[in-house]
Amino acid sequence: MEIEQLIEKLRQKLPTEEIETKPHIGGKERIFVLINAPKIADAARAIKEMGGRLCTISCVERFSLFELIYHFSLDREGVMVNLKTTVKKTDPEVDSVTPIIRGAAFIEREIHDLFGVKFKGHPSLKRLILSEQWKGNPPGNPPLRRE
Amino acid sequence: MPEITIGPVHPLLDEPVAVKLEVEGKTIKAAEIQIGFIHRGIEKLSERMTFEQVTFLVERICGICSNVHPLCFVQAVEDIGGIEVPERAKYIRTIIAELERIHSHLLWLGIAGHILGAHEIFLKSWRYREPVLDIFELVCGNRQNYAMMAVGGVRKDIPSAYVPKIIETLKFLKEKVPKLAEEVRSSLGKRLRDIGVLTKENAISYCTTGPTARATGLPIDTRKNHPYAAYPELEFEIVNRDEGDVLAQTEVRMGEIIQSIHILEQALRNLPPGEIRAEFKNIPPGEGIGLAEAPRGEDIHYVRTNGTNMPERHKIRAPTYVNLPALEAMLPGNKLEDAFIIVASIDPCFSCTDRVTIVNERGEERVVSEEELLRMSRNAAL
Repeated sequence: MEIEQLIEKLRQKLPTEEIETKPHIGGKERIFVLINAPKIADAARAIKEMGGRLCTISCVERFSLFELIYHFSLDREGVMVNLKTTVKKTDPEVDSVTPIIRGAAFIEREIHDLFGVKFKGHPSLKRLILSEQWKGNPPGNPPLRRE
Repeated sequence: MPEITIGPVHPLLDEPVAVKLEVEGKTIKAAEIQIGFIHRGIEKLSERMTFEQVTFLVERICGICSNVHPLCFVQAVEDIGGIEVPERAKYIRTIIAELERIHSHLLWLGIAGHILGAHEIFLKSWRYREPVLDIFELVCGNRQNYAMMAVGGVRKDIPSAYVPKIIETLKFLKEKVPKLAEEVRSSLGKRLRDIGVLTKENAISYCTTGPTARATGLPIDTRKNHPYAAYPELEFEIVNRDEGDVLAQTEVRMGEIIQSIHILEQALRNLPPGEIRAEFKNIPPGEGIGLAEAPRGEDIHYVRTNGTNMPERHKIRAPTYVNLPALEAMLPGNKLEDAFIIVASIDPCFSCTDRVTIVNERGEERVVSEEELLRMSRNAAL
């Protein structure tokens, strides 16, 4: 499938208008889709139905926001589709995709550990990397947060 | 229900993991995986290093597949900077990646033989792995941590004088590996069949990759799905099995060694002349994704840059991260003595057991030594 056709299909399936591509040297472009945080579970379900495999989730700190980037691989088409959403640092909460994609359990727990983002509806959002005794330095501050 | 914890620390092996098993008699009923015992904060460290330094840093993530992480990272940075890699560098990247796959799969087979008490297989596969490491020493100067990848290409060339030596080693492997595979099938086939079965549905829902996924019949391979380096120009097949058990995983890995030899022969024959590293100026602000097929599955690096010479954010996901949770589906229903080989079957940079604490129904604890567990595993092989 050509990249334009795929983008058209994504426009129909996903609750967004904002789709951009980034160049990939020697291969098909990477697709980045901006999604509103409350719609992320719907979007993940739609991509999963298209045959998408969740590779991982990246969390990036941007000023007063956290950017969450859900990297999906559409193996048949050979394209990476990345769902991008933002949550406020003051109230970092977003719906969990683990009930839809079981493979997301570890990475959501990791982001909860390292950035303090809460995933609503995660079956067991306990510590993954940090020990249960870890309090933060200063207390309450997740380790990968800059401020 | 009694609970058994395997791990987290083993003095001989590099990656600690704890596997909590609920057992009824000798049958595993449920499994829970705990990781995080060796978290080194590499993502954070990476934010304070230059792109040049990060390639060396990420090479040290894994001691076995140390080429694949820098390969992913440099590809992500090249995407951001719009850097075209010279053809010769692409081929050299492929050659190093495939040699690494051969040595990693042989290493895994040796460990599997060790766990199961099949010492001949252990000795033979490590014997065959040795000449591959000799090639690395010849080409890169190191048996591990090759330091070959660089943003824009590779750091060292493979002079034509080395090619006959590599071809000779490949010839040796081509003769020996199919025999070894036959031996594994005849001596361990019965032991490995129908244990640690991962269904195709579970392989998809746990987002598994690599041989773990391919053994369930999923035709996913980053080299085919998201071609990189010189793979689009080379001919090879995705090795698939449908059974999903430990034997299927073993056979996928054996088949991949043969495919790797095939790829290497083509790459060495067609190695184009020319530059090995492209020049580039500053890396602009942007984001890029690097993908590569590690011996254990798909490796992915996400890099965000801000115009300086250091990454602003560098997210790394190694293949074991997605394959490990699948053990929760693979272990239940199996016998305790098979737990060892099932955990090892996903090739988790092989990590586990120093000692095991068995808690019986009355809540009494008993510590089982590594020797005892190994003995359990080996006796079952007889």
